[in-house]
Amino acid sequence: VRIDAQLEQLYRERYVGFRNALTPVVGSSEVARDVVQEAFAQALRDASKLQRRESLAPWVWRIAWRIALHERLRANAAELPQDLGLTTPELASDPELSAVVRSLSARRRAVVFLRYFADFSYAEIADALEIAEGTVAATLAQAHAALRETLTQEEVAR
Amino acid sequence: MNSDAMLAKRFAGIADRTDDGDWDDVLRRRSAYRVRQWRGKTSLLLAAAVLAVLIVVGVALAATWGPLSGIGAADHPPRPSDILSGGATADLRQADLSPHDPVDQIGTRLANEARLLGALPDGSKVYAVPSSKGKLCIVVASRAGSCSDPLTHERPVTVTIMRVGPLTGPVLYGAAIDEVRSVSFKVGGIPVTLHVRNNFYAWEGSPDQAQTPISAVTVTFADGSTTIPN
Repeated sequence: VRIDAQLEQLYRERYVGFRNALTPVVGSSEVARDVVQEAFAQALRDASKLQRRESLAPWVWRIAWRIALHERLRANAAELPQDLGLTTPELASDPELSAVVRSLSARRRAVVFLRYFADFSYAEIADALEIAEGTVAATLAQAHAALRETLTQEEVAR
Repeated sequence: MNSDAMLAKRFAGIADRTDDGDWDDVLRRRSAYRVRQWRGKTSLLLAAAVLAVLIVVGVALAATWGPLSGIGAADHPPRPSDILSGGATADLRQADLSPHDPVDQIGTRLANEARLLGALPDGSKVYAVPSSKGKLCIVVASRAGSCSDPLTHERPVTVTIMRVGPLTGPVLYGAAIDEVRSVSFKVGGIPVTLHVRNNFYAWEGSPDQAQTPISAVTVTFADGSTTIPN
């Protein structure tokens, strides 16, 4: 299957997830949509640079991530915004989930968004964020623990 | 329900499910990249072409720019009259082999690039000869020669005064750039003005002026301005 066709298939299957995972990064779903469009356009342009063994979704994500951070920071695209995801209206609509997200570092928040908004596997997250798969697992375990604690407190409060 | 499924459910609950994706828009953006890439490559090629032209022009200019530049009578392809005699060439070779200065600032006099400028009053031919180190040498065939930096507007003439003996009049001669109209000086207080022809001037005094002081020369340009070269 040609790479163009694979990218189109990925886009059709994962567009919404990409957009939702990027929304906390750039602050609005409109901007996130634009980022995803640009990312896939750049992926089509640079398809020849893709290594044969490289997974498509993490590769496109890294492109999108660079565009998003550039969009967000307009300068230092290597730096992660510390308030990543904290001002998103969607998250604000679920205070418990918002508390879970708030308890994580910005880097770990990115892992969570990729996992639960973009439906990335652990391996894909590790590839996309260029971290060890164990780090992904540990991060998600921390998120799970935070959720359990938050929910428990909620139940106690009731 | 485990915590992973629980988190997934919570996130799914707040996720925006609207699918506003537009693959055609992606393709349009990709096409725009291609146009920009094409323009970028075209600009690069144009810049390279301009650079190549500049290099060629620069090399051509460098090739034509030398110690004889600005001396119209000498700045031309060689003519039969420019050929130095075998004796004169040998004299130049000999002079090259025994430079006066410990550091050779002149280099080799390029006899085969000599250009005839004119003749002294006694008929001796005078040539402009470039050197391998970019100097301008004014050579009187088989008699004398001196070298200096190429002529400029600030130093528009060469001046050589030749005094052969107490019973022979002094000879003053030199080369001039194209803009020079005349050269003036005083011999024992008496003014002398020489008109420059074919970038060359020469004057011979009388034997009774053999030891008479000659002043510095004043150069008059075609536009009437004057200068006294160092």
